[in-house]
Amino acid sequence: MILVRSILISGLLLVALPAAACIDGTNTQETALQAQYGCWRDLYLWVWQAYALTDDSWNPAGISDACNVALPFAKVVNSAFLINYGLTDNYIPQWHSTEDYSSSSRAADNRFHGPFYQRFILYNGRSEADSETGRFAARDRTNLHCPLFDVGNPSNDVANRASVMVHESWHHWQQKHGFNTSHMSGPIGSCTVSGPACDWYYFHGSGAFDFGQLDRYDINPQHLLFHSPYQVAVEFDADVAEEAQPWVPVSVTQQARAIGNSRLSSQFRNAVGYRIGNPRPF
Amino acid sequence: MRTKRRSTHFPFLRFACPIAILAASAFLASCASLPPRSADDAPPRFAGPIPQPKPPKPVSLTVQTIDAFLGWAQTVPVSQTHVITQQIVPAAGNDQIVDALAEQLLKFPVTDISRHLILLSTLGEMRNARAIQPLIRFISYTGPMFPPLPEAAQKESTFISVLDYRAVLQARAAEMLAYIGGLGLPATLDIASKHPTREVRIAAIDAYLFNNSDSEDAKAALRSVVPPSERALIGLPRRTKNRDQKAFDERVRAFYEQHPEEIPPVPDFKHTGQLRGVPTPREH
Repeated sequence: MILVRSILISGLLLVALPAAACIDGTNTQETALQAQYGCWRDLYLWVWQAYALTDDSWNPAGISDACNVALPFAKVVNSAFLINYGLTDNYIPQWHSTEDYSSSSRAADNRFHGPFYQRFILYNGRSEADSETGRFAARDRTNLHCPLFDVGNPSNDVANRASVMVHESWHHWQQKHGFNTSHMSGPIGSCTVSGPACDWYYFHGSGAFDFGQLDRYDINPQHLLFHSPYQVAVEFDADVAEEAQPWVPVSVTQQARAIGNSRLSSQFRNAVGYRIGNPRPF
Repeated sequence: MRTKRRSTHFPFLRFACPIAILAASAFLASCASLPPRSADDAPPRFAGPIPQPKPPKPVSLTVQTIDAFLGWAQTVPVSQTHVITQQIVPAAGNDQIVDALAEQLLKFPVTDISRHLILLSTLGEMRNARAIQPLIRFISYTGPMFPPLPEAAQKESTFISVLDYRAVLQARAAEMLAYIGGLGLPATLDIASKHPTREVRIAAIDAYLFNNSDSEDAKAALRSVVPPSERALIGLPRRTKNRDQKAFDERVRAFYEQHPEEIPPVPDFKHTGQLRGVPTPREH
C-alpha cells in the first residue's frame, strides 16, 4: 500500500512539470534552406550529439520531430547545416574555414574550448541566447532562447541563428584561453546598443589566420591577432554573404549581409574599417 | 503474534524511499543526456543539394502575383539571381506594381524580415522613381515595426539588448533609395546627414558613394553634411566576393593608421589560459 501510494505521488510529480514552447512556425527562408538536404537523419543525429542538444529541455522543443522546421530543434539543425556546409571555403578571400566555424560552434572538448552543452530555454525576454562559463562542479552551457525560434520575431532567421551559435561558442573559447567572457556595456564609443552587447573589433587581413587556426591568437601589441565574440559572428556573416555555396538561397545571403553590416556599425566600441558587400539589390 | 512496528519518530521516512528513487532517476537521466566523450567526429558527408522533382518556375511580377513572386524569389539560389532580375525588368516601368509593393513595404508589423529584404531589393532593382517617396517614408518611420514583444520583455531592463532590426531594414532601404538614383540620391545624402540611427547613416554614406562611382566629388559632398564623428567612415572599402584581396587589406590598414584612436587595446586576461600557438598566415 505504501509502495503504490509512493508510485502515484512520483507519477503526479512528473505529470505536473510544464511543457515549454515558443511561438512555433516557419518561414520561406527556413524551408528553402532545409529543402537543400531534406529530412536527413544522419545530419540531425550528428547535430544532436555534436552540438550537445541532449538536455531534456529539448524534449518539448521538437527533438522527437527532428525534421519539422517549425520547431526549435530542427531550426538548430538547419542553422548547423549552414555552418557546416554553407561556405565554399574559398581559401584566399574567406575569413575563416568551415572547419574553424564548425569546430568552434560544436560542443566537444577541442582546441577551441572545453565541453559544453546547449539548452533550450523558454524565455519571454528579448535576449537571443546566453552562455554560462566557468560553472562550479558543472558543465558549461549555452542557452538558446525563444527569440531565435519565434515565428514573426526578426531574430528567427537561419543566418542570424547560425551566427549567434558561433558567437556563443566564442564565450567558451574565451573561458578556455583565459580571457574575460563579458561584453562591455553600451552605449560606448562607436557601439550604440544599450546593455552588455559591445565588443572591440580586432581587424586582421583575410590571410592572417590560416585555415584551421581560428582558435589561435597573438596579443603582442605589434601584431595583435585576436577575436571578440561579435567579431567572430560578423566574420561568419560576411563569409555567408559573399562566399556561400551557389545553392544557398539568396534570402539567406542577403540576411547575413544586412545583419553583419548592422552589427559592424553598432556593436563595436571602435569604428570598423570596412563594409560587407556592395549596396546593390541582387 | 508479532506486529510490524511503524516508525512514529520519523514519519517522513515513509516518503524518503520514493523520493530517493526519483532523485536517482533524475541523476541517471542527466548523465544519459550528456554527450558521450567520443572523438570530435566530422559531420556526415553532404553530396550536394537534393534534386527537386518539380523545381519552382520563375514567377512573373504583377500586381496579382506579388506574394507569389516574393515567396519564390526568397528561394532562388544566390548563384541564380539573374532569374529574379529577368522577371523584374518587364515590370520596372509599371507604376501600379510599384504602388502595390510600396503598400506591402509600409504594412506593419513586419513578420518576415527576409521577405521584406527581398521586397526592398525588388523595389531597388526596378529603379522606378515612384518608389522614392515610399522608401523615404519607410526610412523615416519611427513607430513599432515588428510584432509586440511579450509582456515580460517589455518590462525587461535595458540591461539586455537585442539588435535593432528596424535599423537593419531602414539601412537596406537607404541603399535601394540610392540605387534608384535621380531624386533618390539627394534624399540619400539627407539620410546620411540627419537620420537618427547610426547604422542607417553609415549605409546611406556607403550607398551614396557607390552610386556615384566612389568619386571625389561624392566624398566632398558627404564631408559637407555628415556628422564630424562619422567623416572617417566615408569611403570604407567593401568586402566582396571578387575583390583584390591585398588592396582591400591595405585600405583597411590605412584606415587604422589614419585613425589610431580606433585601434583596440590588448585584451584582458582573466587567468592563465592555454596558448596553442600564434596564427600563421595563409600562403598566397
